[in-house]
Amino acid sequence: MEGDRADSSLDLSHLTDKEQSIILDVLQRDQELRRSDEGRVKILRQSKTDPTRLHFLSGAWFSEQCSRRHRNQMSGSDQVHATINHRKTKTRVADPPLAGLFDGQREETSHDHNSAQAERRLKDNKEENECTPGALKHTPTPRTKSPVAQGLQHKTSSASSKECDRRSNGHSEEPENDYYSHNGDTDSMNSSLTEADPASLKTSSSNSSLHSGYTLSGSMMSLFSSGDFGLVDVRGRIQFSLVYETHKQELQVKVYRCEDIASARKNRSDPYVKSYLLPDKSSKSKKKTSVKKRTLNPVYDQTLRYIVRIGELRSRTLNLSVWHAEPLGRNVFLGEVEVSLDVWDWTCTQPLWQDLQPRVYLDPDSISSRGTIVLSIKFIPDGYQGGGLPLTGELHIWLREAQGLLSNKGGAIDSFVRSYILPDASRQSGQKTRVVKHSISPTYNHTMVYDGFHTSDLKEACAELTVWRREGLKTHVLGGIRLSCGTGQSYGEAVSWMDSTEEEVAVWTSMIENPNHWIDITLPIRTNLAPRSQ
Amino acid sequence: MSKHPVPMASATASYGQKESSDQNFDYMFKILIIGNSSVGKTSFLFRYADDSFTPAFVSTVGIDFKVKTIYRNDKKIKLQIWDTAGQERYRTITTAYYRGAMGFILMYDITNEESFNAVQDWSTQIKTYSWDNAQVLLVGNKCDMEDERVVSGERGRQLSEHLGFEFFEASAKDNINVKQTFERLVDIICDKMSESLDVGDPAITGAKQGPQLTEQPAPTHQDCAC
Repeated sequence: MEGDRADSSLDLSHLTDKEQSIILDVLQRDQELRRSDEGRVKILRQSKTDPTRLHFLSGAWFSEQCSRRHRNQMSGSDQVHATINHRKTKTRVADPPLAGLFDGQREETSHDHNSAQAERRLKDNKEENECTPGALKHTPTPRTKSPVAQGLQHKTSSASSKECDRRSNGHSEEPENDYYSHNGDTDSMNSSLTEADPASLKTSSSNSSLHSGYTLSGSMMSLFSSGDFGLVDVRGRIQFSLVYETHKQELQVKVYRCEDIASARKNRSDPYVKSYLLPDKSSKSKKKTSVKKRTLNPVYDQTLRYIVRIGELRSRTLNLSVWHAEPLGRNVFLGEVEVSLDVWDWTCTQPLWQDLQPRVYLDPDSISSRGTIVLSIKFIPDGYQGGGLPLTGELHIWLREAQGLLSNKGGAIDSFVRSYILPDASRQSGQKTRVVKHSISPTYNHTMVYDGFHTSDLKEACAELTVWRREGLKTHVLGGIRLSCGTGQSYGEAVSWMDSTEEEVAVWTSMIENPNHWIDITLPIRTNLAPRSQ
Repeated sequence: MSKHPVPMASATASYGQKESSDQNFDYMFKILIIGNSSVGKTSFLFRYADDSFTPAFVSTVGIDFKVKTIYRNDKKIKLQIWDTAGQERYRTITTAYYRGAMGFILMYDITNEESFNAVQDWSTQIKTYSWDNAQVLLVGNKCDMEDERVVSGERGRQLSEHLGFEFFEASAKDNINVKQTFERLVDIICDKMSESLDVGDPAITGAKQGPQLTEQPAPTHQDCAC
């Protein structure tokens, strides 16, 4: 149901406060019940119950069936609660007994008793809550130019794989249980219970070296998956090539072979290769080769195909992971490589060997960019168009699209962009686009116009564009850009928000120097905007 | 939909039991009761969960639930039974719960033609908002009120066959077929659960340990005894 999926908020505006409070009581009881059930499932999982049986006992069988129709859906209670809560906030009705009750509120789910999901959501919430307005991610080096080629720094030290091993104790493995899944994403369905706090791990990069310009210190995939990947010591290599067929708009990932991979069982693995075009972690993005039985040197010679625009590719990361297929249990992770496609040399179509890497947890705080934003900007000085028009200088921001929006769980999100021309952070200064639903690369095609500028003002001003994710009625900022001269000062006062990167400064300067011309821009949506002090 | 002004049920007043703490059960099933306003959904649930009945009509506000733990074939099953408001004004809330429900009790009132005519629409709602394998029992409630009956058992049966649902006539007031309805639905859900592993691999299907409740008689067409 398209409409069903898209509409995550409910219109409950006709309900009275009394009705809402009655319903909230019910939701609270439901929440308690679900918590208790999550506890039960957690105990079950720790008790080494047979996976098939666990599948029934935990209710995973139903969640999976549900997910075929309702991907990315909140439970009814969460949906209703989000709506009611929002109204309460808006109308300033204090509701102290319920405040904080839904800390563990589910981000989105179609299955009610899945503790792993719940925990992941908790984590997501934690991360994103830190990112509320005025509290943008803070890093002390705002002027870094983002993709710094990381070269060969990726070598995984034995220390880090030990760390993986250690972490694995008591944790269950990733639910790579493709045999139960007819439609894909079991990973997200019945993944493990516990998730290491990514921030607590010193990670080395699991990015591949050859063409990777990643600044991430961990695999992007790790953002979307929890559990344990240290069951076997990752070793071996994978050979693949990437070809982009322009006329078909098709990315062809040719998987040739693997060599010397780890044994999942005694001297044996039944390996297959799985790919995702991250940050899309939906089943649409998931492709698999066939399973090769009893070999540590599987030969596939298979092509995994993605229909995707070339412009879109630069915001994507290809994740190729190798798994041992375990028909009656969970599949075993044997290693992965990640390729950041923005810096990929598409003229290179030769097969390449890359070493498989353990899945190293990525610290979400280390993500420097959550996608790219594509826009055009122009300044029309007053009187420039003749006849005294425009009356005052006008700044036009034509927001075209964003590409490869990276949320903390992967997959499509509802998003919008908000603009301010600082130092004016008032409501009048704020404008926003419509919400584009369910997209990794949303097209906004929205023009924001600000007037009242002199050219001299531009040197003191900063166009701040932030990309927001909407979820139910909550919004979280993903990141943004700041177009300004980056002087750290505005009208003689030191300000935190004049923290534009070199690229951003270049855009702004170019706009000032070329009045009445559209300047086309593609910039990373950075996460390190300095907080604006009030 | 009728919109008569009615007193609102207070959830806290009517549901006080400690239902959430017990983790000692094998399965948790979620069931949703739907149907027009005043067909007796809440009474049906109260009869089943508390074995109580009150003739007064109190309109449900939005959504409510009760928990009941039962044993079926040596398995302890916790049922979370959602009771929904039949009134249109709560429809956005109630439909939000469809997708979390494993099974449905779709209820009409045998003394109320309109409620029977609405069954088709409710069935469409289930198909729209629920999962593909949603299990539905059609229940004609108030079969104790034979004098006021306007929907014959035969019509109910025919409609249920047409929709592919199993069918019961029942009475919350006289406690007829209430328990049977829920237990039958639980059995059907158990069957669906076992079938959910239809991967065709005998090694897997053979290993399944879902409850086998097949010996249960399936009273597909069980009319009211009165």
